[in-house]
Amino acid sequence: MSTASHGARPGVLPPGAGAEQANRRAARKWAAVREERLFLFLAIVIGVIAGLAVVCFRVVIGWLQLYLLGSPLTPLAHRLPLVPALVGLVIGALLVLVFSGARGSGVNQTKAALYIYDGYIPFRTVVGKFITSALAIGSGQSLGPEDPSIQMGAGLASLVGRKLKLSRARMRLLAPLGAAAGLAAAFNAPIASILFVIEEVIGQWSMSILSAVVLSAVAGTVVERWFLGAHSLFTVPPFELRNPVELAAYAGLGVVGGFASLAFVKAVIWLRPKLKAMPRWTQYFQPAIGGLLVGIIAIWYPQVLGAGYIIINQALHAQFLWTTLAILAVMKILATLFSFTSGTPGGMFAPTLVIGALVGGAVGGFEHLLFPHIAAGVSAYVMVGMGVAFAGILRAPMTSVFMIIEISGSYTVVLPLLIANSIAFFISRSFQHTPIFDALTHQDGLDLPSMEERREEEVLHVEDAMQPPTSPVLQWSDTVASALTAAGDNAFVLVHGGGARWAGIPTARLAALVKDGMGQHRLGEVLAASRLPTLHPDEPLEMFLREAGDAPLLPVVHRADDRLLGIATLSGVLATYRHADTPVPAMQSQKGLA
Amino acid sequence: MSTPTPPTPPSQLRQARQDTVALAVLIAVVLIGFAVTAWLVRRYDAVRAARAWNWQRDGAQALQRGQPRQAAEDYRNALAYNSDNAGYQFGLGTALFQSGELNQARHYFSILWQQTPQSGPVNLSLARVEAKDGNASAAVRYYHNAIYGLWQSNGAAQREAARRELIAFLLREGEETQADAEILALGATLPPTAAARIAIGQQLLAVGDNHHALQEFQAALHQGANNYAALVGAGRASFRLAQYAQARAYLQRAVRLRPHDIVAAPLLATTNEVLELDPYAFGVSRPERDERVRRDLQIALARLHRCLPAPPPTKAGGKSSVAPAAPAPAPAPLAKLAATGQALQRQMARGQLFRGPDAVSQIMGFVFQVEQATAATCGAPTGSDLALLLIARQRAGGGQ
Repeated sequence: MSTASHGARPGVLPPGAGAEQANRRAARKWAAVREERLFLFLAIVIGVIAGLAVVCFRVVIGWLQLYLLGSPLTPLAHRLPLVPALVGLVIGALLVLVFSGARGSGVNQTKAALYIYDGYIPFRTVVGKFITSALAIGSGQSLGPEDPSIQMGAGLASLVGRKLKLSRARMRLLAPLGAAAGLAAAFNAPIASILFVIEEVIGQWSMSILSAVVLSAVAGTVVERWFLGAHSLFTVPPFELRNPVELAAYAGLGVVGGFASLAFVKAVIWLRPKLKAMPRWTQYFQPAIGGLLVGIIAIWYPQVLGAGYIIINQALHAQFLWTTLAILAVMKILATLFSFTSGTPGGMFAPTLVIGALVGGAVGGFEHLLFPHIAAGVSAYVMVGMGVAFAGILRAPMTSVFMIIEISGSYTVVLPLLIANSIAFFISRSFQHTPIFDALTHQDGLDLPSMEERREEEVLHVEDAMQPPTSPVLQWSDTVASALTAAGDNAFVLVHGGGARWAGIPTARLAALVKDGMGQHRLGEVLAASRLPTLHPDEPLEMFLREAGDAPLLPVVHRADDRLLGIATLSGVLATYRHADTPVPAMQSQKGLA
Repeated sequence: MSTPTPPTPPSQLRQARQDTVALAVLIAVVLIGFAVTAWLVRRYDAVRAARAWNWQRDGAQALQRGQPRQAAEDYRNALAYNSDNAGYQFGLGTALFQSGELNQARHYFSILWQQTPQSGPVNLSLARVEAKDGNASAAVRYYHNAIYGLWQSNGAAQREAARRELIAFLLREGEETQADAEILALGATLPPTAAARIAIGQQLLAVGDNHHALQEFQAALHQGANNYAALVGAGRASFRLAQYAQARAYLQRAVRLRPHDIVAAPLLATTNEVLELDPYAFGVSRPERDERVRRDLQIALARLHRCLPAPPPTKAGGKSSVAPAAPAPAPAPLAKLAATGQALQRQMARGQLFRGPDAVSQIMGFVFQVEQATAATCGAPTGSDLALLLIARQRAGGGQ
């Protein structure tokens, strides 16, 4: 670890302090090794615990659905408006009085725990999320179990970390492990879960945590499959892309799905703050009103109730006309809008997939009607539609592709999926700059890093700050005196030792050497032990700050033959960072050197 | 010489102990969690299984009541609680098939077929779907899969039923040759009872395989000479094979068994007519042959006369200012035959009918032409005309 590797200066310490320092170093090293060893083991344990919690969560949701809405697929009509509304009252009371931290989907709350509270999620929040989300989904609110599973997994990981008294740094790393395991267990999709946690929660590929996230997600998935079976969420009919022209039809789905996603996101972002701004006492009733509205829709369209995986299966098996699918898509968007913006705990993953499936099926059916020789069966459009909505609403493009492949168990749909997802993502981003999770975060008054913005941040390179050498480049064979003369007004000069060897010397030191009578010494003799790091134009600009040390400038050399391309100076680097959004004037000439 | 290891500080020992305890607690929590989750899942699965069973029972009852749409809903509900159950999927497919939802039914059966491609019931169901959807080749393929597939119980009977269904389908499709092969194959698999033989014989008759049909009926008669159905079948097969003497023997025995039966008696009458009118029959003397030729000619001329357009009626006792309507012109072949007939009548009247060595052939050729032409123009013949037509066909080289 970096703390252990920093050398102390025993010569300046009081007697006895050295031993104490060494002991502290040893203790720190021991603590670091301890946590390192614990971490991978904990990754598996957390994965198992999160998996168990999610299995129980799903079972409880199923049970509640059975008893609250009844046994048939189409719930009994008299229960419909009442059950979601009455259960909504209970949820509202629980949220206001007992589990205030359980509001929302769970993704942002997990991110907040990671970035603001050092990975801390109260256990009460986990319990509250479990109870309120299960009640909400079980009573038919148009929400899914996946996002709450993320928060529950992260919360359980946080609890384990607290009990083991792990450091803050490790605590921050534990939350994503639990989140990945929770999502993997909820979706039975480990790869997509890992990608989502990296894409949306952590925001970067870090090898230090990747292996632990993988272990945790795999453990969660194994537990889920152990108890609930290894089958995919959906049974997908065989699909084959026979005609490349059909990709155009999928592009059409990308366009329609992109705008449908946009409409949903805009509606959520518009309605949610208005409901949040209402007096506090209304929060008791908002989930109930949301449930009532969903229940009223469900009287005519019971398919909108709950997570909605059954309707996806039915759409996959072409059990609806395209007109029915289109109407159901609109109704599902409305139902999810009411459920989610009312503050009812529950996730957006499942409704997003359902909306996408319905839009996909409707577009596929319509295109098949117009171009029966081009557009194949509806099933493939339903699958691609799910990915389209995932990319358009949640704005996680990589996750969307892998999630569809995993949950459908079919790889043949990859090409249409990539095309349609890209188009939907582009449309959604063009008309709604802020992704939905980021917008919700801002509405909650939090300032969390936007993963999409982080991904798209401009990375500055050395070539962006590179300048032509302002002082002469001296050679190893030059004398100190001639170097002083050549240096002129420059405070620091570069010396080329041949090949890849570079050194630098301040002009003041040259003057001092001359004054000491060493004017005829070769620079090579004076700088024998000195070496200046070099940079390459394509390296990140931060490399200068890491490598420069006390040197005011560093040579920038060609990767192939080590010839000098230019120099990077501290002032130039800082100026480049300051003007990151505007081009640095000197850049053109610098790049010209290359 | 190794340096002695420094003693572990007490704080680290304490931490290590705490870690051990914490990990032990963690593992215990995991184990308890496993136990609790297993109990919960088992209870939940039991509840779901019970619900699923109730729904499938309702679905089966709805199917029995002839309410396939209700049955499909019930089976869908059952599958919502037990999506992997092949029996429920089969029930849903059957209900959908009976509701006319062929695509959905095909889909569910196809899923089952991918899991158990050798299943007899699944292949039979797919065959029915394809047959109803007009995909004859796919239907035949699935029927064959069903016939040679696996059946959980009573396999022989199920296979026989499947083959009978295939035969019926082929007959509906007009594929007599394929149907004939299937019937013969069916016959080979059936137990050698008279009833089975008769059933096969009747199916062979239906596809026109009279020869094999006769064999089946004869086999049945070997087991019981007074089997009425076998006698009628053998008589009909012999009749169609133009083996009229044999047909008469079978049919006479049948009529003796059931004198008032309306199946064998008309056929026997026609057979008798054929045998009595055929001048080429084996053992017929020359005078008898000439007599038969003369009678056949008179029958044919009478038929021709009945078939020719009648002259329009004239107004009784009155003179019409309008000229009487001309008779409708006879079809050209009939008119030509009528002219030949008049010439033959004149020859018969002059006693010169059998002049020349080919007289019999020429007269009978005329008789056959008349019967064929009048059958085409004036409808199917009956009685003696039918007998003459059958003789004509027999002479032309084909049976019935």
